[in-house]
Amino acid sequence: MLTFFGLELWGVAYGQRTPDHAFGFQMFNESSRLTIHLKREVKTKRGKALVPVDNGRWQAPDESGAQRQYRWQDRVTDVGVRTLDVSVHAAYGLDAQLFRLQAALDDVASHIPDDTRTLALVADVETLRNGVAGSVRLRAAKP
Amino acid sequence: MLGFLGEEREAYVLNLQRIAFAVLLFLLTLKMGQLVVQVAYFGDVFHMPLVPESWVPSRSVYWLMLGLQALGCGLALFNVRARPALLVAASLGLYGVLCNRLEYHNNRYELLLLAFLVALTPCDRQGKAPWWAVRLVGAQVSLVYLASSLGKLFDADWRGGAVLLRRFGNGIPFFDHHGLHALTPILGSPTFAHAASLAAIASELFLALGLWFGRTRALALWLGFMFHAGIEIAAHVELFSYTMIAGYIAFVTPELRERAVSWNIATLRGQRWAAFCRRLDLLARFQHQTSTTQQPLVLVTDRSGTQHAGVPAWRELARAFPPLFPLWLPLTLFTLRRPRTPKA
Repeated sequence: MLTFFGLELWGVAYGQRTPDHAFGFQMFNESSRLTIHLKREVKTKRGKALVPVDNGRWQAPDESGAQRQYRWQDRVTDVGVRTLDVSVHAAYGLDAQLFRLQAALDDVASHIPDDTRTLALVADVETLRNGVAGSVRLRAAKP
Repeated sequence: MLGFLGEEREAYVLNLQRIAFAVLLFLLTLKMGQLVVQVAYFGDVFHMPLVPESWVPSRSVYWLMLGLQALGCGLALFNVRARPALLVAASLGLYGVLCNRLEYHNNRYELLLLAFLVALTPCDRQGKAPWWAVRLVGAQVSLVYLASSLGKLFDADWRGGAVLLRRFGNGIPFFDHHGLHALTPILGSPTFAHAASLAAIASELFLALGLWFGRTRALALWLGFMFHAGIEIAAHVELFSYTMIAGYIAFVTPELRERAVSWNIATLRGQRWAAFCRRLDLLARFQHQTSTTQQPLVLVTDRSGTQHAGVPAWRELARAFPPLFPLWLPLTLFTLRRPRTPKA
């Protein structure tokens, strides 16, 4: 029993420090929203450019030159970060969703090895933390 | 001081909790299976494990885990090797959370912890059981309120009303749509949001502590009941409200049938109420009696031996029957200045 409650209290303490408050019992902790605009960083003749990803879908050639289809939502099914270009409630707070979004970007970037055009995935995020507007840019380079 | 460790009381409360958490955990297991079918198995898509990636089960192993979890709940429900069965079911559920923190939700975690904790207590026993076991389940309930309220208290945005102001703002179109325009300035007022925030924090703190004292327990239970009913209606947070209300069972007096209710069954109405009353008595609070000679429709004798008729009798019934419990405080306020003994 002591182990049980000891571990649980450790979890509560951990939840205070981690962005998504996992194990912290922080219910209804914010009234924040976010809008994710997904972009691809691609190589151009002049260097690099950011290309918007409409509805999470894009096409890019593989090594053989054949066009392949990619879709953000094929890998990202979590409700908070799968929705693009639409303002959504930030469950467990804005930090939680940005933390998850960065992990999602890293995950997708590491799962598109055949995409020869994309150098990185970039998310421009419009935020509304308890009514205060802001913005943040997250980026994940292909490994 | 540690005398309570040896105290033994009725095990009925623990048995009820075993049944409640087995059912709720079974429903959660179904939900997790539904997610795999309708969305995806989390291991096949983007997920965030807290354990090493190699420990995340394959889809088929995950199905096996869910199957065992459901089986464990079933066995616990029917009291067949209930404690190990519920322990395995809760442990598998907790392991699932560790495999993907995206699946972490406070309500699921609380349900799994409560089920785990109940499995560690003699929840399969008939007769008497150590009272500390029930107290631990109660402590788990309080801990959630305490963590939640302190988190809000130390958050300047929450304390100051900024969080609730936005939430209330979301409700304005709904009230406007239903012609309740008078509420718009109230819901849009920072002062009201600030006051509501302080009231919400105070309520959660009261729930965390008030459940432990005899004088405040009934009021805390009523507040919690209404609080969770409100959450269920306004936010519908999966099984959270049901989990916490099932957790409240840890705070009921364990002794059974210390009160009596007697119905006048000379009329069809009395017969129906008598039958209905037996069904409502989930917590086995009453000795159920019938009479054809008593004057009032219902007579309730409380623990102290005082008899109540009329509205006070209904108040006593509401206090003891979970489905009628929301009526307890209104009836208590209504009967505050009325005589407690029946005229009959």
